[in-house]
Amino acid sequence: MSYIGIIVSLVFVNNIVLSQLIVGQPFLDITRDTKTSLSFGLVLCALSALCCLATWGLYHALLRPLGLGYLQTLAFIMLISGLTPLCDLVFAKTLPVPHGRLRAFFPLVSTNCAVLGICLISVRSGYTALESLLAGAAAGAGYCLALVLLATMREAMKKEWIPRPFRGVPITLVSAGLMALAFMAFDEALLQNLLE
Amino acid sequence: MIQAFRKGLADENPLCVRLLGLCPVLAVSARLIDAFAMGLTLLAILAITNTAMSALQTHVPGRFRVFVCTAIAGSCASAADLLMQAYMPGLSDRLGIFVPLLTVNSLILDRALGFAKDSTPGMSFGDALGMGTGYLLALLGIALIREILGSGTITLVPIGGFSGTIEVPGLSQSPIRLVSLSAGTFLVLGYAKAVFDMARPPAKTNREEDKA
Repeated sequence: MSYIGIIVSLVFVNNIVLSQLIVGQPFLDITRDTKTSLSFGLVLCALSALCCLATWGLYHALLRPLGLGYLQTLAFIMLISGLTPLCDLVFAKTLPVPHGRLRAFFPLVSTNCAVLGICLISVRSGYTALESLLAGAAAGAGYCLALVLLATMREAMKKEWIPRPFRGVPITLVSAGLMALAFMAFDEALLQNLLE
Repeated sequence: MIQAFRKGLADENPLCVRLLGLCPVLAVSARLIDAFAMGLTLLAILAITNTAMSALQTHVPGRFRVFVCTAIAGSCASAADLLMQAYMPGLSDRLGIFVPLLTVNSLILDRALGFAKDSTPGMSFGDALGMGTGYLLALLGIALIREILGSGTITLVPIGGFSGTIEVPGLSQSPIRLVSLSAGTFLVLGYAKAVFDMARPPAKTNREEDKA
């Protein structure tokens, strides 16, 4: 599969939240305002690209040669939960801006379904190293896109009157559903036309 | 222990009240039997992880708790995935990546890191059974609505002459396809949550709103 194909497919057609439904818990909590969603989305995007590359390395250097492919879930989650605190440390040392607010996101990312999900998907689809890196970044970008769009919708809805039982979580779920419906416009045919 | 069990069924039902562990609900609720299998798997993993974390609580230092918890849940999820691949390949195909993803299911993390921290293994086991059963029942409810509306069928286990699928008259010829798509999942869950909130006592609903 070509590189552009992977990106378009994971950001729009098979968006990890809206189409593959690998949601992860912070989806409902974090989309309260756009700024938080955007920063969480970017952290997740960077880390999922990194984790995807790292798990590719782990699988092809260690697990497959030793015939331990069945340990992939366990090994991947161990690697991810080890890698995220490490990135936290590196970011704290290297980033010029204070990242106190971003710090709180790291534990959430390490236990996020989407990160483990895309690592497993890219290993099971037999991607190469570069393809895994791109897949991780694209899935993260798709997650970020969905978060930011939903947060924007929620901010716009604060001005509207909403029936009482729907306030809070239900209306968010319904809006996510309508957004998923809109994302169905990006289908396989669109992808094929783009690639030809 | 009985009390811990009952709490999960109603007052703190993980799906209806707290919306924990959304990932499998959204993904596998298009067919009743898949939802049942997923709910049972989650129940088993939750019971093992919760009891183990509670038994280990004095031996694990605080900062390694998440690590140990995901290791236990990951082992159980891998085992469940491999067992399913070996004995129920069809089911394994349909549930796909969502069985290994139970490793980082927020319901399991919440119970094993939150509740099991300061309770006895017996209490944690009861809590896990209650939470798991409450989750299973809610998941079955959502799956039933989605399957009846979305495909007009009810899929059960085939026994003897019974093919395993009940067709709902009227709906099986012209089902509402939207409900069985991924967009429909969010919609059904949103409406279900709204109906559930409406049925609950208003005092609790207010508290929920303040939090949200």
